Amino acid sequence: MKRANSAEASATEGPQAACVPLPAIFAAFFVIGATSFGGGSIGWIHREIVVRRRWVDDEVFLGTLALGQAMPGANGIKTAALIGDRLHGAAGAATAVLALLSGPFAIVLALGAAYARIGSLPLLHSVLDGIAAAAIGLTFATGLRSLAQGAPGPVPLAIAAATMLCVGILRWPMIPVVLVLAPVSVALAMFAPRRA
Amino acid sequence: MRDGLGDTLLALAGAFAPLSLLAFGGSNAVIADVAHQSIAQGWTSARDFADFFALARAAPGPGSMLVALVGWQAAGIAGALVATVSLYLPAAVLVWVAARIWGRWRGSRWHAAIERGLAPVAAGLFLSGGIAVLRLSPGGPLCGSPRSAPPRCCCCGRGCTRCR
Repeated sequence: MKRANSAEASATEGPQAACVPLPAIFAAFFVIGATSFGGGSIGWIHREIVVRRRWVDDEVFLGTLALGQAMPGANGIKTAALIGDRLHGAAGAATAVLALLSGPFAIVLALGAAYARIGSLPLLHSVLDGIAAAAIGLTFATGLRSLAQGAPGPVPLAIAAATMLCVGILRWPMIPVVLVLAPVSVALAMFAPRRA
Repeated sequence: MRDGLGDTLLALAGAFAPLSLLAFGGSNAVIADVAHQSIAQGWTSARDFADFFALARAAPGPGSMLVALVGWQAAGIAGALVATVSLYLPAAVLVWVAARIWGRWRGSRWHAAIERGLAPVAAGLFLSGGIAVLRLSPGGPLCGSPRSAPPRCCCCGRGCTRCR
């Protein structure tokens, strides 16, 4: 009933959401989680949930992305929680998140167990160093891209540089740094509104 | 032993749950802090952390799932579960609650400012994550070279000869 209310209360929620059974939600998100290599689960969620199964439409999907961008957390998990909520309320949200995480969790632990057994092989370290190098490059690329995507200007650049200096270079704890810099940055964005 | 395990589990939750709520831009924003804390707390070595980072990136799912490996090494399967739940659950609950009040603040001046203000912080955190793992990896410019050299390097915690 919660859902019926919200569906009619808000235009952003799009057409009436179907009540998809929990096992179907679990199956769909489990497959997405277990196959989303490279961490790009958003694209897979869109393909499986919006395009293939048509459980929600693009408008709802983009609405969840927009909300997720203003919130902390893994992007795939946030999207799963919000779409799961649309599909089957709170239980759907919990099911989607659990399903999305359980595959990667098991696979990562299995890899870890294998690593513990053969971790002394020099070749393994070389392989992992290669993967890490690629992943580090991707991490930098993501950081630079998200810097370029936001309103480029001296203030955002200074905030990004300060964050990187404190957390990355000086290795200060992230929590106080973000608790100080994030409100400052949001306030500056608020009082110096610029169309990006 | 029992107390030791409980303490470790609490420490894992205490370290990762707050990060969950500050992981702006995605969970990879926490990698730098997870690296610093995991090594400072002795949950994992620098060598293992760099390898865990690679393992988690090679596996499907979020790269931040490396916390499962950190938790597992610190406190077994219970540690893996606690670390994973701590990193993902708080943020999932928060976004779910926010969705319930979404209609009221969507498109508002606040929402736009939050999105624009958080983007550079997220960018800085991602870059920090790259720096943190680069420091832990062998052979990089920040680190010097081979791990065959004597251990206990000040900057990368392992067999570098050049850094000081």
